[in-house]
Amino acid sequence: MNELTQKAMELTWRQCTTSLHYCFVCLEPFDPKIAGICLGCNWLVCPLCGGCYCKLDDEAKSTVDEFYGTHCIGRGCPYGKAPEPVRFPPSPETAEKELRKRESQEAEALRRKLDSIERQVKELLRSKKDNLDPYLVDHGSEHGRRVAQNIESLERTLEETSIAKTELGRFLTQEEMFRVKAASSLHDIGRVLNAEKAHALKSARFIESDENVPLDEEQRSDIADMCRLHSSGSTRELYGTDDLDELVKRGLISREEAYKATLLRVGDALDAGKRRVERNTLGESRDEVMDRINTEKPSQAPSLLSHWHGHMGFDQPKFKVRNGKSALEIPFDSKILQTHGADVAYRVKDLLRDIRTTLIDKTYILNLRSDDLNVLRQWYQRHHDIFVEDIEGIEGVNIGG
Amino acid sequence: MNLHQDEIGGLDTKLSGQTFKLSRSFESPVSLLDFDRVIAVFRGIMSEWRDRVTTHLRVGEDSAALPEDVTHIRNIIERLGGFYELDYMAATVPNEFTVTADFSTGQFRFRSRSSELLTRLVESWERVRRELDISKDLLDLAIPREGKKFILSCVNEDGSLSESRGKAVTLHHAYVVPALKRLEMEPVARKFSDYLTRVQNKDGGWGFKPGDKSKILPTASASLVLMSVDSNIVSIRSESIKRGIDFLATRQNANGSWGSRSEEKGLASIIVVSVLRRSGEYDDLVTKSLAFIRKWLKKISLIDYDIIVLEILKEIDVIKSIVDKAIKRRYEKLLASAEDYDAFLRKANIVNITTLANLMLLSGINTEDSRFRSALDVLLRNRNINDWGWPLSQGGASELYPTILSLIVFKSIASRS
Repeated sequence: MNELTQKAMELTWRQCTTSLHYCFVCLEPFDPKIAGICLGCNWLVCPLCGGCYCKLDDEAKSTVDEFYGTHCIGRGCPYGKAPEPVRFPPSPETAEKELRKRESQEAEALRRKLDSIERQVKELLRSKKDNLDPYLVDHGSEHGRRVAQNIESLERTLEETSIAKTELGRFLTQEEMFRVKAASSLHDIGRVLNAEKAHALKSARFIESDENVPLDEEQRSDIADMCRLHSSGSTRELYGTDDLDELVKRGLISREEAYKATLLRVGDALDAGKRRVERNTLGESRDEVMDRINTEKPSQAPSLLSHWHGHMGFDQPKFKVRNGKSALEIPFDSKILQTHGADVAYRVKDLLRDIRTTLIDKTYILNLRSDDLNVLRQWYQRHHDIFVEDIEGIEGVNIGG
Repeated sequence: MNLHQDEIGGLDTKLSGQTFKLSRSFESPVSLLDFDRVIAVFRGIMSEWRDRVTTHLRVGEDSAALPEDVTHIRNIIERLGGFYELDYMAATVPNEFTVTADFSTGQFRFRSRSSELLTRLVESWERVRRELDISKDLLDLAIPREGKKFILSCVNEDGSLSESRGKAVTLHHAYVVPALKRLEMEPVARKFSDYLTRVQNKDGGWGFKPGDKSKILPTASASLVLMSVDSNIVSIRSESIKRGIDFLATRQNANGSWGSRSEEKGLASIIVVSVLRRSGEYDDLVTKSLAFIRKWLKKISLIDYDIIVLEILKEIDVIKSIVDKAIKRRYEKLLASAEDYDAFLRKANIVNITTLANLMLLSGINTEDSRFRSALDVLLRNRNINDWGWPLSQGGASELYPTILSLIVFKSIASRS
């Protein structure tokens, strides 16, 4: 039998009463409460090396079985605290039930954590509102919430179109999704810290250093990395390019990092439509902001109005799945297309540009929709030169109602 | 002029049977240093097409239209996040043309359905390039920003660095890697150091190329890189450094030097001494070597060595004053004769010129000094506009080593200002 397995059994035996288990494969200690259950063998899966009973050779398996039969069943193992001895191996139903229970407990704990982070972001925005540009479109907690929703929907699309499998080799875990969502709440926090410039780097530093944010060290580091990579500017500053695919190819970031940064960058970019300009970051309505611009007449007024109108030209863009391919759907407002067509085209360009620099498959289909097809066609004819280089390589553009 | 038919025909024909007239396009390299020239082109467009033109400017994730009075544009860029994050500027007149100055990819694109108009726009770009100087106030910002892109193109998937895109990996330039930290490219430096630990020979040393027999210079260089990457040395690096140091410590020559070839002994000894001093051990070997280094410093022409080595020299307290004197003596002699100086600038390779510029900076020269500006002008003239790198010999293809050294010159100017 493998020496490591023998050693692990001895250690587990000694530690059994304290519930600390030792992995038979890597010999590292782990808390069984946080370990998943392998649906193949029904044994705990080591959270560190992913090893379980399945990974052992036949000799080691028979020794482990004997050890378990002799020492553990009588003590109520495998989970140490079971009131009744658990039949070994646990039935698939028991294992499944246990797995669901743990998943649900974990989900609840993560949800509470996420709520706490969102509350903290809101509080920080309130206390530092003097630092915020009143003309800036929404970069507050509502924006963060929409980015999180976009990420959930985008992740489903990436799963359905197999991109998650090809890029990552698996789907994101509950914990990883929590981290991406936490990043969506925190990614713009640098803007309220007196930092329009390099806000992504400031957000990352805040996440790494502010002890009030309820995150452990690993979560902090992971979420801070996502915030750095969500911004094209800060990514270029760190690496010389903002192209996540190129950074993976050059071995500077892992595929996991690039995948999570893709979710955040695209989730953020997709919040580009009308909803983004319903309110500014201070919570003032669009009409109030427009009035303010027209009354105060800041030197950059035309520029600001152009930016706000650009957002108003379409509703929430979404990635959807069509015949196994991903399609980016943008529903336009024909009235705004007629009055501010170029502003809208530039906003679309920025959205497509952000998507281009991520792991999203560049052969997606672009579906442009509007209640008035003639207006949409005319708009495309007049303005598509603005974003034509950003759709090079995509499978096609469909214009429809 | 290279006008070409757009290649998006396949895309357009998919549009529900409706035919869209294709544009013709022209592309030209553009740098942030061309900012004022680009503005001049935009000013012309905005003036001629006043009522029909729409403009756009993207900085980081924020965007805005260009102000009517483009002299305010710098304020807007600063407000949105600064020149470092400037992404692109565009102007469009529907059904006529679109012009995009993409500073992140370095492409200036002109697109129009009218050949005549396209030609006119391109000519206006070529005219301002002839007539207007580069934006010198953006030098210290633009060059490090754009140079990073070239460095990145030399990074391979395994973390190794090639001298230029696609070329073979070498390890002898390892001692320039601390420069990556100065350029704020720590991720590249860390990745390279991880690579070094993987290609370390069994005897603890490194060769000039992966798998080659261990030699003193690459071993000293690699050990220094590993020590420079971060202060919290993780165990794998720490073990690798220890083995590298053991290799070096057992190979000192009788006269206190390291290395076998006479031309590398001085440089190798200095790097080894720096490594040993950082390790806090082997004081006896260091003391013995310092005598050799002092003698060598009095004889050498410092212009042959790059700035990173000079900085290492200065780091060793006991020889700092000798180095300072040698630097001063060397560059004063060079500058004494304007004729020699001009001849030097014409003939010297880029590494020599970057060394000279860095010597000047180390000696506290005023960056407005005409001799310093002449050296910078040579560097600027030799920057390859297609990949933003520098060649070793004037007019050649870009390489990593001269590029890193040139970037450090501009980064040093930025730190000063």
